Amino acid sequence: MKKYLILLSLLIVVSSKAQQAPIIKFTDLKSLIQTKTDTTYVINFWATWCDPCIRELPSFLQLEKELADKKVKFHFVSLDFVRDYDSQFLPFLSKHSMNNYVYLLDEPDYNSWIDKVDPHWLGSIPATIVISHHPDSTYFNEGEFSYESLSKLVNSLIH
Amino acid sequence: MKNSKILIPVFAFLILLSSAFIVVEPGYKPGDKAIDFKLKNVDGNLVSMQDESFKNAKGFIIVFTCNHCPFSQAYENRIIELNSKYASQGFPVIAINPNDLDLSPEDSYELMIERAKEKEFKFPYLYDDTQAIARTYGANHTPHVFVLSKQGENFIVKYTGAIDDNTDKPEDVTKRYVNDAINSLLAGKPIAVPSTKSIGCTIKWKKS
Repeated sequence: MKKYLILLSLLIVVSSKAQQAPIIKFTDLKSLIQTKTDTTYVINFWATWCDPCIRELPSFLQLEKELADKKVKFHFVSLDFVRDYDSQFLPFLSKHSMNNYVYLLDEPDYNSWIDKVDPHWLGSIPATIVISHHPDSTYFNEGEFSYESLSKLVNSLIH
Repeated sequence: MKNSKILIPVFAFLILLSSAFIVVEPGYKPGDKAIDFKLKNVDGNLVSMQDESFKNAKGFIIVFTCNHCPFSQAYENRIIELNSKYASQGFPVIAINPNDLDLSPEDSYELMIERAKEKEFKFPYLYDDTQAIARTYGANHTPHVFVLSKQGENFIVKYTGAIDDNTDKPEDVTKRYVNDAINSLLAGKPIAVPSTKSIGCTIKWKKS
């Protein structure tokens, strides 16, 4: 019985890992960006090795918590290398209790998709795009967000 | 038709409004004239593109890079290869670290010296301590390349952006943007892809 339980819990861990922070391609990201609902999307591009990304992360997580009952979703798209998935990326997520909507974007030809996220993006991270559809509007920010400016922007867009 | 009189000023207003939102991105684009610099190398000497040692240079591969950034580290060997391949053909590499020491202690001048020794850099590795060169060039992240061509007394920007299309896996690279740009310059042909974008570490700008 104990054996089965261990196996079962192992299976759960493995499957939840995969669901928890999937490796995605640009097409997945594109459909996320282009989803047209009344929900506002905050999509943050980051990486575990990026100090300014890590500095601004608590503001995003705090705001996500505060607005949990509002029509806003936070997505965290990591640009970590795929080879660092198990050794750096997953341990970072569990350390910071990042459970939802975290992805690793496996799309190494950056030049092919940066402009499709936003033509103003020059390529540094952190970078954040906020998408709202009532009315259609997109806000792009390259650089570190403060809690105040992020909160002000997102609150002005949610319904 | 009746409404057209009203519509014209409305359109004019809209055009005016939209033009107010055109953002002029700072920094050099292909075709711009680049300024020279005089920055301290890891050997203690000041280096400029006008130096006697560069008198045979047809141009330069300027790479804004640093010690700490994983993307810069991923490209270190490829930067070394670029220099060993193209310095003899007239396009030497000049690496420039633009990061503020207080915000990025791993990128200090002392650690630059260590890094250059460890990796046996055969090219200058300069410290842009005021960040004026990175600002003027429009370096956004590390690594960020500017290929310059010497035309008389001027240095003309010919290519800006990424080294190639795969940071993590050099074996999976299919587009070698810097190589292609320089090969075209050497062959006297137009550069097919004169600018690209890539992900990199934000330059650690001094807090103003």
